[in-house]
Amino acid sequence: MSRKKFLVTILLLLLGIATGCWDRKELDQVSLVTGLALEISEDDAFSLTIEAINASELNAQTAEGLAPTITYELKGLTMAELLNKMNMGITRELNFSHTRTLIVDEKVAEEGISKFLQFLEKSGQFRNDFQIIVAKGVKATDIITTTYPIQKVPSMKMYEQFTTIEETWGGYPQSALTDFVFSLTSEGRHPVSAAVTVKGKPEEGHNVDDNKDLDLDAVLEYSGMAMFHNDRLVGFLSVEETRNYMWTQDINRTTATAPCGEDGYFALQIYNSHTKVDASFENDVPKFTVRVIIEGDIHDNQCAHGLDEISTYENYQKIMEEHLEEKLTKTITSVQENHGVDVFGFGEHLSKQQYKKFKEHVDDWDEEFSHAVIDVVASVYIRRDGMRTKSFIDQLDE
Amino acid sequence: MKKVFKQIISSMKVDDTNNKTTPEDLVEDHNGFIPISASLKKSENEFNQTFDKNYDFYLEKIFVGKQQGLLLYLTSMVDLTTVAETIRTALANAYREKKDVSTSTDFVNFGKEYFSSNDTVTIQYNHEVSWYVLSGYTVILVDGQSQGIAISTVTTENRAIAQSKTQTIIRGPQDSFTEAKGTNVSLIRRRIKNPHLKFEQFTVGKDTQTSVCLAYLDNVASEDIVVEARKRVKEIKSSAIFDSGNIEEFISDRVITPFPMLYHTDRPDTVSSNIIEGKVAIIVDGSPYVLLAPVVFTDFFQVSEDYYQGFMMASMLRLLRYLAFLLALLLPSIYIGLTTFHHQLIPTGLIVSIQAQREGVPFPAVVELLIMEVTFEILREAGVRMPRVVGQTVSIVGALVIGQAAVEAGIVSHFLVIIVALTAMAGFVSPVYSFANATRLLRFALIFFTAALGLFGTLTGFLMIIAHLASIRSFGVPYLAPMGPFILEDQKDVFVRLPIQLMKRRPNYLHPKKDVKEANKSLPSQKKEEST
Repeated sequence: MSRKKFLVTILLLLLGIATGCWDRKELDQVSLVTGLALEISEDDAFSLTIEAINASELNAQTAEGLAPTITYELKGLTMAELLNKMNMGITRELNFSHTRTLIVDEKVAEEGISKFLQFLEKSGQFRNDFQIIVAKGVKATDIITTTYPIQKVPSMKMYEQFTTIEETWGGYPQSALTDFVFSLTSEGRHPVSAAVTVKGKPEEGHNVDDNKDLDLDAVLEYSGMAMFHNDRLVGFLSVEETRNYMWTQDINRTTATAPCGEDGYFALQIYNSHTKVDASFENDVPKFTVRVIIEGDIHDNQCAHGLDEISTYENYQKIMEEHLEEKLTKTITSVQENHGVDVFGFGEHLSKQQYKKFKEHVDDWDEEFSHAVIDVVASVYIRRDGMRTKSFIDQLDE
Repeated sequence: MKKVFKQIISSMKVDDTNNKTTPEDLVEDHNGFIPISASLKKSENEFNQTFDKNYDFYLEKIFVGKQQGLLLYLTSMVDLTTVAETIRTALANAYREKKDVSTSTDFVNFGKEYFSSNDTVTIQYNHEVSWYVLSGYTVILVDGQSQGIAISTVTTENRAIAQSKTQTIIRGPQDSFTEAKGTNVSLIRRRIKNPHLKFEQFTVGKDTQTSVCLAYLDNVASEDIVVEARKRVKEIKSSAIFDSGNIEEFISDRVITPFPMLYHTDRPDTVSSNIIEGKVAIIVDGSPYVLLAPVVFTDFFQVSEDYYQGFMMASMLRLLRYLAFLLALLLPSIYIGLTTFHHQLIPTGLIVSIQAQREGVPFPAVVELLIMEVTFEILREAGVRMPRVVGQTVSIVGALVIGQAAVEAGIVSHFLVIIVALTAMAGFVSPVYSFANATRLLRFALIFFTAALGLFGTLTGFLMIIAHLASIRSFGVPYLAPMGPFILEDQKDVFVRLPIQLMKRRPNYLHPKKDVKEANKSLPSQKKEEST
């Protein structure tokens, strides 16, 4: 190796050291932001509140009983400027890679949220799996300032709660940034997001001492979903309706209840479900058939119908089918009539199955949707019945 | 860089055109060999002069049969009981029987007859006399004859065969090599009773005249490897050899590498099994560590115990060793990379926990890590060097004072102590010490790479290591064989060990003369099929 090559090698090695380590940040030089809250402010401006973790409070050994998070609010015109200006009140550089939630105030949502999402999608600092949540009936800042004894950070509490409810009850609409933007840009679908409210007195939940009460004064509560027309909030669905909405979107796991007689109900735990939508045009009216095929186990049986009889199963399957058809139709019709926004993605199905027809109506699709004919056909298969076939209720009757 | 290094080496070189290291070096002038003088008087003067000012040189005039003779030996090198019992008794008998040793044949026969139980050599030249005397032989010269006989009376004062101290196993032979070459050779011979097992002897070291042995199976080991090993050992130009480590540096393919180019072990079973595979063992007198050549990267993850226990457990442990190697090499770098560059890669729960512990630590994570790593290296070095008597202090000071106090004083975080401790433990998993040292060295290099460039630096450093590994060869065998070049048939004994019945062939990368180890080995299930 010549002297020149040797020198070049050394210089290249030095170059590595001389890069200045531009993205090097010690962990104790950053504050992890877990939640953002957007609220309306006077004159065009909006206010942005961040929720940053106070890590030592989350460690059993270093906790002193102080606040687990720091919230700080700034008013301004753009997200980018506000987030970099936060150090007006926050000591450390903010790190957004662990952000879990973006809480949007009802009023902000009504005016449209795409101008905020623009920055979040552009910036490389955010992970795009955070949930967009509408604060229903309370201020957005109340959501990120309500503590909980186990997950002391409100955003983390919500995130974990949503994951759990999605696995157990199933009625949770995924509203990560990517899902939201995808629905926003899709021609046959409008976006939805989760809605959260505070149950109790929001002011009480701001204090860590609230966690000492067995009966919490304020609890963050999942309260269904918000529907958007493009990026503007148009209405909410209740938790029950959200689950009906999710039936049309392939639900994974849930428990459904239907009456089994005059005096009781039976519950079906559904562990397998498949939803298929057939789209067509009849007499220039869009027609959809939602086929829901589910498998489940009987988990509750309040009636005196023995589960050792095959007729009980057949009967229950039929009841459940009718029940589901009725409930789903009701929810869909209500959305058609009251809001007129296609959050179900029927337009998407149509565009895949009848592209030419859809193309004709793409501009006034919401109008078409509101008078579309939508049938729900459910097929229920009961597979198992739990630990006992013969219920003790049977014996009570005798 | 190579050139600079070569220049440094050449500047250190001295003119050594006549520097041969054989018994012939003892010849004062290189003009020719001087035969033993027929005149006893002359010889007496000659050797008194050679061994001048040596308190342990012993020369006595004796009678050999009817003839006058000389008895020469070094009292410090010979076993005096053997001299008294064998040589003096024999000489007394010969005197009584008036044995005639006046002719050359008579003298040789006398040696064979009277000292049959000892190793006896007939010698011709003066320098040979000196050489054998120095080697612990007793030399007998006779008046009127220009030859002598050297009888082996070497003292056998050696350390007893003990348990291996550096490569311990639970199940399997526990003996280990000692400093005596003879013992070591016998330990191997006892395991391989095969006339094809050769022990070629060389003498290396101008001043120390150390004997070095090449051991191999001549019907198995590749001729290329044996020739190469022989050539390299012969070419060693050194004044002193005290350990196989000296030899290792001389015969390595490459000096500028952190990786060991030869395998060293003090386990006779490891050496024997490698000889069977077709490798060459190099035994150095005075060293309990035997070298094995050629060596490949994957050898350093194999332990003889792998073959003494079930193949499933052995395979699991072997995979664990690879994992430990990666941990020892990369864990500190990954920690630095994640905590100072890539916060988004750590799960939220974990990053919060690390952050909470790092609150109040005054140094950057990399400084914190280096403090602990260097402290650990100091402790380790102290543990090796310090007199055994004070050994307990090290463990107390090391574990308690440095570890716990540093955390309590807030200089380092708990999490970092876990990282350093796990890295250290993982470093000890490698069965070969010199290989573990390579990871020690490279670990620091990778820490610096990562501190500057994040995980990108870790990856760059790691790729450089792999590129380096792919570039080196040991005795002509690629270091990464059988992974690179990939040899499918040899995979049976690399990351996992397959059942012994399936290992019928020797590793291909060693190019053995006979590649089939055991042709009619078969699994028990196969045997059943054959019998029906």
